Parts: sequence; C-alpha cells; structure tokens
Amino acid sequence: MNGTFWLPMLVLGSSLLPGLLIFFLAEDRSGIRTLLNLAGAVAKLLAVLWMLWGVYNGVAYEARLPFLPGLDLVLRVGPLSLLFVVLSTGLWLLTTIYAIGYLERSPHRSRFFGFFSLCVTATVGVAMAGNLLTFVLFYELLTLATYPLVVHRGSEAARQAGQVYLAHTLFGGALLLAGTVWLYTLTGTLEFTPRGFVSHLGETHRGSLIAIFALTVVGVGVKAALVPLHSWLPRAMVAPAPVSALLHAVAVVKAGAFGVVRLLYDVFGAEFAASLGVTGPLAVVAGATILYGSLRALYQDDLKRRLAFSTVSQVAYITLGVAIAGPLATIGGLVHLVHQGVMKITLFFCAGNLAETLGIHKVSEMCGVGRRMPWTMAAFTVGAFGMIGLPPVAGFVTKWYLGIGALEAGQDWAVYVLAGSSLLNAAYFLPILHVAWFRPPPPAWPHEHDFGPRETAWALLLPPVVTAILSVAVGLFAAAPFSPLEWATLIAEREFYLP
Amino acid sequence: MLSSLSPALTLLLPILWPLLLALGLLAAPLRQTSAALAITAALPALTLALAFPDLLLPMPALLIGGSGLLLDATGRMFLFGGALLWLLAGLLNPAATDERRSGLWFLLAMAGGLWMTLAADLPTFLAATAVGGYALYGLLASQGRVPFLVPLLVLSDLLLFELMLLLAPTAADLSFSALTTAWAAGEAVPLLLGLLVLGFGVKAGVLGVHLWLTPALRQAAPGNALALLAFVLAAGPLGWLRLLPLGAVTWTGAGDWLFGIGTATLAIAALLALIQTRQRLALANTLVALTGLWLALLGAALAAPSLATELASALPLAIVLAGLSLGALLIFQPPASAAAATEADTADSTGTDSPDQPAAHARWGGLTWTDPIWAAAAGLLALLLAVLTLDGAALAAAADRPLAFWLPAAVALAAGRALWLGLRGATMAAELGQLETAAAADASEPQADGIVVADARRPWVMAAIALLAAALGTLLFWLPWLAALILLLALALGLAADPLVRRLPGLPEGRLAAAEARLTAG
Repeated sequence: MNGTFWLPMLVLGSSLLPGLLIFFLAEDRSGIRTLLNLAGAVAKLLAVLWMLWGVYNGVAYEARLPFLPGLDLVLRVGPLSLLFVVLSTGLWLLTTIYAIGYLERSPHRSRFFGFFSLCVTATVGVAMAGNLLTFVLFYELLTLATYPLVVHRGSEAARQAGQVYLAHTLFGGALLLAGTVWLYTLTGTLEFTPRGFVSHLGETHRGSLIAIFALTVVGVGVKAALVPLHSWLPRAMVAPAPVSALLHAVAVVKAGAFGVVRLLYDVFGAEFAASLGVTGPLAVVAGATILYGSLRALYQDDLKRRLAFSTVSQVAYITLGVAIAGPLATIGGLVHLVHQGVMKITLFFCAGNLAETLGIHKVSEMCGVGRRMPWTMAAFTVGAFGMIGLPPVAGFVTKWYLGIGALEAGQDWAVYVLAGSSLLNAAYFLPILHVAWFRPPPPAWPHEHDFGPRETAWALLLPPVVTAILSVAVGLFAAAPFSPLEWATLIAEREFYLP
Repeated sequence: MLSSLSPALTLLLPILWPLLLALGLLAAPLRQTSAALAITAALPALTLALAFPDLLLPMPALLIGGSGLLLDATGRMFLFGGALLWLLAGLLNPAATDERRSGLWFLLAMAGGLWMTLAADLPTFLAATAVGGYALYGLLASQGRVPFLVPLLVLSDLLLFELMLLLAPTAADLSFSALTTAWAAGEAVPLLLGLLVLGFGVKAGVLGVHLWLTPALRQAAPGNALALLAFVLAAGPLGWLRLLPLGAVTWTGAGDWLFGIGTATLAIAALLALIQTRQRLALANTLVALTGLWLALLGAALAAPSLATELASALPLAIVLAGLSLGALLIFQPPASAAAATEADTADSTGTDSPDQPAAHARWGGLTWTDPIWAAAAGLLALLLAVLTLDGAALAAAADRPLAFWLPAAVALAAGRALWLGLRGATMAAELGQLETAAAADASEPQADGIVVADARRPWVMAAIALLAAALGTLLFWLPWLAALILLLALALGLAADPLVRRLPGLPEGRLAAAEARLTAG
C-alpha cells in the first residue's frame, strides 16, 4: 500500500468524506458547509493534478480491493480515466462555487450538498474504474446519488421527473449488470484492457457477444441519453440549475458516454467490435440521436429544456466518434468529452443566472436581457457559438475531427449529419442571441432580485465567465501541448497503434 | 531597425491592439483611455502594411495545427486597404468608439477583419471570418434591421467547412499553400468550385447570395458602411485569391463557368444599379458588379495560366483600390445647401426659399462655394473607379475573351449612376430618413426620397463640373480617354434613366418626382 494505492483513494475520499460530514450539519451552519465543500473540491483538484503529473512521468496508479472471489474492485488511472477525472474535478469545483451562490436562500442545503458530494465521488469512481465490475458499482451509485438531487425541490413535477429518471436509469443499470455477468461467465475476467479482452472468443461466441454488446450499450446508453432512452433528461430540468449543470456537463451523461467509450475500447476493442458488426448500428443510432435532439430543441421555449435536447444531441457526437472507429473520429469523440463539458456547463450556468436573477425561464422572456446581464449573455454567446461549431470556440475542433474522421473511415453520411446538426444548432441558438442582444427589454422582468451594482452575485457570475474563457482557450490553443486535443490523440494512439 | 522587431510582435500587434482596446472598454478605470485611443486601433495594421517586409509567424499551437500568420504581397495589399478603411471608419463614426457597446462590436469586427488578411491557413481564416462577421452584424444591427446576414454567414461557414473537409485528405496541412497545391494536383471538381464560389461569394456579394449586402449598405452610417466594405473585401475576394490554384492549372471548363457566372453577376448588378433612385443602393449594386468582374477575371485566369501570373500580382491592387474608391463614393455626400437644410428642418411643403437667402440661390444656380469642390472630387473618384476596372479589361482582353471591353464598362456605368444620384444632392441625414420622419408628420405630403434640392439647376451644374474634372484628369495624367468617355455616357445614362425609372412598373413612383414637383410648384 503505497502512493499508487492511496492517491486514487484520496481522490475518492476528498469528496466522500466532506459529503458524509455535511449530511450531519445543521441547516444554518452555512460557513462550515461552505468550508467543507470548497476544501473537498480543492483537495480533490490538487490530488488529481498530482496524479496527472505522475501519469505524465509514467507512474501507474492502481488501487485494488478484494471484493468477490476472483473479482476485485479496481481503481486504475491511465490517460483515458484521467481525462474524465480532470474534467469532472475541475468543473465540480466551479459548480460548487456556483451552487453555493445559487442556493443561498434555499432550504435543505445540507441534504443537497451531501448528495452533491456523493455524486461527484461516484463520477470519479466511474472514471477511475479499472474493470467492468467497479464501473457498474460506481455507475449504480451515481444513479442513487443523483436521484435526490433531481427531486430536491420536492414539487410534484420534481417527483415525477425523479420517477422517470429512476425508472430509466435502474432499467439501464439492470441491463448493464446482466450483460456484465454474462460476459464474466464467458471470459472469466472483467479487467479493462486496451484493445479489449473478448476477441479470442470471436469465433465461438459471436452471437452471445453481440447480445452482450447490445445489453451493455443500452445499459450505458440510458445515461448517455441515446434516443429512444433519452426522455428522462428533459424532464430532469426541474432540478435546480447547479444540478442540471452537473448532470449534463460533468456527471451523468458523461458517465454514460464514457461507458460507451470503455465498452468499445477496453472491453470489446474497436476493431473486434467492428468485425462483430455492431459499430455500424451504434453509429446510426448516434447519428439519429444527433438530429433528433436538435430537431426537438428547435421547438422548446423553456430555456433549460432547449439546452437539455441540445445535450442529447451533443453527447451523441461522442458516441458517433467512437462508433465510427477510425483514429481521427475517435480523437473527435474523446475530445468532445471535454469540449462539450465546458461549453454546455457555460450555457447551463447562464440559464441558472437568468432564472435566479431575473426569473427568466423561457426564451420568449429573454428580450433585451443582454443589456441587463451583459457578462452572462456574453458567456452564453460563446457557449452557443461553440455548440454551432464556429471557430475559435472548442466545438469547431470536435466538428473537424469528427468530419475528417468520418471521411477517413469511409462514413461519408456522418458528414451530412454533422452539417445538418450545425445548421439546426444555428437555428435554435442564434435567434436566442439576437433576441437577447438586439431586442428592447420588457418594462419589467418576471421576478427580479437585486444584487447591487453588479449584474448578479459573484458566485453566479464567475463560473460561467471562467468556463466561457476555457471554451475559447481550449479551442484556440487546441494544438498546443497538454491541450485536451493532444490528450485525446494520445489515448487514440494507444488504442489504435501501439501493440 | 524596424525589421529587427520579432515577427511575432509585428504580426500579432495589428490584431491584438484592437482587442486590447476592446478589453479596455470593458474595464471601468480604463474606459476613457480606451475610447480615446480607439481611433488608433488600425494604425499598427497600417504601419505593418507600409513599413515591413514579408513576414511569417508559424503558430503550430493554434486551432487544429499548422496555423500561423503571414504577410505576403497579396495579404499586404488587403491589409493596407482594410487598415485604411477601418481607420476612416473609426474617424467617421466616433460614436462607435465612444459608446461602449458599439465600440466593442466595432473593435471586434476590426480585429477579425485584419486577422483575415494575415491568416496563413484556412482554419485561422474561418475563425477570423466568424469573429469579424458576427461582430459586424452586431455593429450594423444596433442601428437597424440587417436581414439575411446571419443565415448567410451560417451558410457560408458551412460551405467553407465542407470545402476544407474535402481538400484536407490530400493536403500536407491546412495552410493556403498546401491546400492550393493539393487542389492543383487534383481535378477541377465542380463541387469544390461551387463551394468556393458560394462560400466566399456570400461575403463578396455574388448574385444569389448577396441579399444581405444591399439592405445593410443602404442604411449604414458612413463609418459602418466603410467597415462593411472592409469586411467584404477581406472575406470575399481574398479568399478566392488565396485558394484558387491560379497559374498552376489549365481548367478551361471551370474557368469558363466562373467567367460566365461573373459576367452574369456583373450584368445584372449593373442593370440594377442603373434603375436605382437611391445613391446607396446604386453603390451597393456597383459593389456586386465589381465582384462579378473580379470573379470573371479569376475564371479567365483559371483557363489561361499565362494570364494568371499577371493577374495574381495585379488583381489584389486593383481590388483594393477599387474598394477604396468605392468607399470614398460611399461616404461622399455633398452637403445640401444652407437653404435646403432650412427647408428640411421646417418641412415646408410649398418649397419656397426662405426669405433670407433667395438672392444667393438664384445667382449661382443654387450652389454654395463648396459644391464645385465636391463635384470635382466626385468626378475624379468615379473616374478612378472606371479606370481601375478598365485595367482589368486590359488583362481580360489579353485572354481574348469577347465582352472583355464591356465588362468593366458596365461597372463604370453603374458607378456613373451612383455618381449622378450623389450629385443630385442627397444628404446623409436625408438618406438616414430624418427627412422622411419630418415629412411623415404631414400625412398628405408624399415623402421625400432624401433628395433635397434647393434649386433644380443645381445637379446639372454639379454634373458639368464633375465632367470637367474628369476630362481634366484624363488630360493631365494621360489616363485612357476611353474612361472619360464612359463616364460621360454613364452620367448621361444616369440622367436619362430617371424619367424611365419612374415609369417602370412596380418601382416606387416618385420620391424624386415628388421632391421636384414641390420645387417646381413653389
């Protein structure tokens, strides 16, 4: 038990421990609660950065706990898991700051932040899982930790949304577990291995492997909001904005997409999956999701629901990228984990600002809001441009790699899907921008709170501005060393080229 | 000494300086200073274009790799033209730099526009176009509706992205030189050409996708009109020049197609310009006609590599100078004479002169002392435009194409119409509709077209002076006599077109007629 064991455990513990402690805090102990939250977030970030340095220098981090005979719980940190861990940790810190500001006067904050911390613990557990069993375990923990956040408000709509959420995710979890068990009986191992660990069964158990693939992908596809498993996501928008931001950018949908990546690369192996003939249908499902999500988004007046459908569409870019299974498309899919995360969380932070400061929930209420809240709308503009795929925001880089990857792999149809998606994104984002910046404001906002001379509270303003700047930086300097793009390239190389 | 400055600083400063000023506008303590300095925003760019040798700054960390900034002969021309236009735009539109919001749009659009001319590769160019284009929209939209611009920008981005996708697999990297080489090695694929023409054509104003240009130019304040022109030049023809493999290929079919499209654009736009009743619209159509001319010349060059080398060096200069003279015509507005201004203010419906100044009017044909200067300047400007396009004719003639003479002549005609409308006495205030607002108060009075003519003889006198100036310029500088002749014809056509235009069905009958009726009645 040395550093390579304790560091992953520390990353888990840095949010688990504060979370458990916060549960026992009285509602009015906001100072200590804030301290615990931020201390945990900062500690986690420091631990993750230390781990990053270690992995860069070739250290192999692994924490192995015996669980069942022949099966351990494994936390293993490599470039792919680190990609997701760094994203989650960084964005969690910002979301914590945001949530502290957002829920300033709300009830049940201890309960909220307790589950908030558990949620991110489960997320980094998903990211660091070294075998399918550990993955499934943390995946289910994520479901259980996020349910209370979805129903936090306690209203009838929230309860119903929670029911739909639970139904979907438990169903998916059951399928995932079934697939995992079946796989174990065939292979005797569940350790994530580059290029997969099932190819030796290709001839003998082809049918079973295809069925297992279907089961597990549907299982993770629920969280990844692939059509037709996506309907929980728009309904979950009744939750407070920090929850939406967390669910949609950091934790749940990313965990689902990450699951697809793990299955395709470290369980089945991309080439083997292609030989099974399952990547084609998966790519088509992803393409259909991309277009369907954007089409539904066009017709939503509720801002968060519009963003929710946009998420459905954008997360499917990741699935499309990995399902096309060429090196460049893979890079595009992987890097979109990061890009979509920072861009989408910007949009949700801004939506939360509008709701919290001015009581705006609908696009039709956003006339002239650019004058009242220019910094928020500027951040929103950057996020929107990124979604459309305009350079120099990060979304352009993803679009490029997916497009060129599709051409490289001979999947020209995907280029049309991407073009259609860009057009649709422009169609449902640009009118919002126009209305916000160039229409005159109404005589009174629906429900205005006064935050003094600034447009809103610091804790609400800072996170979206930071993530907007990140969205541009990550796009503008995408080819720089240590950028997410370089990272994704490294991961793809290990998957496709190294023996 | 100048060349010892690092390429990084010299190439980055023209783009960074406007951005820094924009940031300064955001921070309260720096706002005053930034607003005061905003006039200098384009100076680094101008200095770079005039005082520095060719430079290259590789920036491999930018966007999707292999990017950089480049100052070469072509880019230098466009940088010079753009910087000059932006400088003038800033001077003419102090509100743009004073008021925080439009100041931000203005500076962002400038940064994007200048970045375009320095981009060494297509992704960087697209990024610059996105920044410049949407910021330009912000600048224009704060003054009025700008229909079509945003959807067309989206379309253009999409088309150019697809073009990049199709060219990239065979190219070494995404720099312009690599893409051009890759394209030259391939076929004259119609799809690629179509994407190129339409993709950049949206911004250049190719007929069919030019719909945003006319309304935007029509209502823009003078400074913003120059900004728009700067954007058009940098984002449209420059893109064609950068990507077309001129001189490296002989694509007769494709070249003929482009020539045809260019000619069609030119012809239609020139006709449209001739039937306009507003000077701004005539100028907008002149710009579209110019685009058609450039496209036709590029097409001719694709088909004849020998023409291409000559064109590649001459066309950038011709484009920029044509753009500058068009810009000058755009902002050129001879002021209404003093009595006319008084008339406008009081919205007097009888059209009589104010009692204090009838004598001055009658004696000098309605002119004030500045009018001849304006007329002469206008004449020379239009002459310049006509001459520049004729130079293009010389080049096109070298390709032995029929219509070679008539193409630039058509542009000259369009410019002549615009000149005529300007000389008729349009004032900027009227163009912006203030006169209409005043006249609208009196519902029975048909609204003036923004033509405020104190005396019906004034335009004739002004036209005569303009012609004299053009003829004198011809004689003094040994410019082709043909240009002066064309200008004469253009003015004559412009003059003759008025009664015709009024009789054309469907066109607004008679703001012109109403204004003149007012005068002759009074």
